[in-house]
Amino acid sequence: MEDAEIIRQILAGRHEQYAVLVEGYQEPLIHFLRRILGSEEDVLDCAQEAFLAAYRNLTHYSKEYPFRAWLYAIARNKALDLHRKRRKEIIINIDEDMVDHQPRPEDILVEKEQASILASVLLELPEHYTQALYLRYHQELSYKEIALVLEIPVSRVKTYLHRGKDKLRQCLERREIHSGEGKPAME
Amino acid sequence: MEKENLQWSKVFTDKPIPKATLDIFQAQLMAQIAANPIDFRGESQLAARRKCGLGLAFSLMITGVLWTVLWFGSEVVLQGLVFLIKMFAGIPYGSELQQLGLGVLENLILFQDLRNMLYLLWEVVSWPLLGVLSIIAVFRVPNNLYKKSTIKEA
Repeated sequence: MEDAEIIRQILAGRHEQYAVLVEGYQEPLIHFLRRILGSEEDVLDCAQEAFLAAYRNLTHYSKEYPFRAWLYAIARNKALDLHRKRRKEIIINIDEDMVDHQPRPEDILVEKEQASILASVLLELPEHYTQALYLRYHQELSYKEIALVLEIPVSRVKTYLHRGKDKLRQCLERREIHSGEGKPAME
Repeated sequence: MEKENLQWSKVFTDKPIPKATLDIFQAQLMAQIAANPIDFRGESQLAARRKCGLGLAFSLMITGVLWTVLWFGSEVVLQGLVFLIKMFAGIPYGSELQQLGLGVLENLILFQDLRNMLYLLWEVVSWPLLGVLSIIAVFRVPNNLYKKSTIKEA
């Protein structure tokens, strides 16, 4: 069943149908939010808030754009708010206690060595480039969908992707990451 | 292109989420929705009503402003329009503009006549109306008024 049809049913009063949308998008949304937020608890809270906000504002949803992109846009805004809040808290903690904040989850969670290097290279990139690259190549969103999620024009999405790839390539070359055949990882 | 996309997708690795976590997440979310379901039909009706109300308020405001301007400042508007028609006499499509302006001018003159008519009508009607209202005020039984008032109830 298509998202638009499910939404039509929910709006008609079949609230339980929202579970279909949740089931379909919860996993990719949590993966997407992990790239913005630090702790797993924050990620799950934010994902839940995003789904609830999407449900409450379902009357404002337009069929012109996919539900997934709309949901991601809501989630991203919520995540950025939470991220700002957390950053403030960290700054206050540093000022008060002079204690270093914990390393980012990417550093802890990535197990393989190359994956770890790639993750740290990704951290060197500006956040909007990483998000655009991740949404395009990992979650396979269209340019239009990415534009909606990041709240930028499609032309800028293309620029972000192009520049993001260039920067990533430069970073990888700088760190001399080579594949087993002796070729650079990204050609 | 596809090969390139595949290469770039390898850059990102997502840590798998346990199924139990996803199930709990979904169950909690749906429980919240079930506890506070939203009346979407009522909401959209309310939104439509709000939209209509706003439209009505806006149109009333515009009509009120226009009416006030025409009522109290029709002379100024008239003179201004005549001046504009004269000013735009030489420009291209000036004749069309002049025609439009003349149309408005005619309506304004009509409006002035209408205003004069309303003034005259008010002069005729106001005295008898005042008389009728005075009779109502004098001959209305004060006792009934007292009965209906909240003073007694209190």
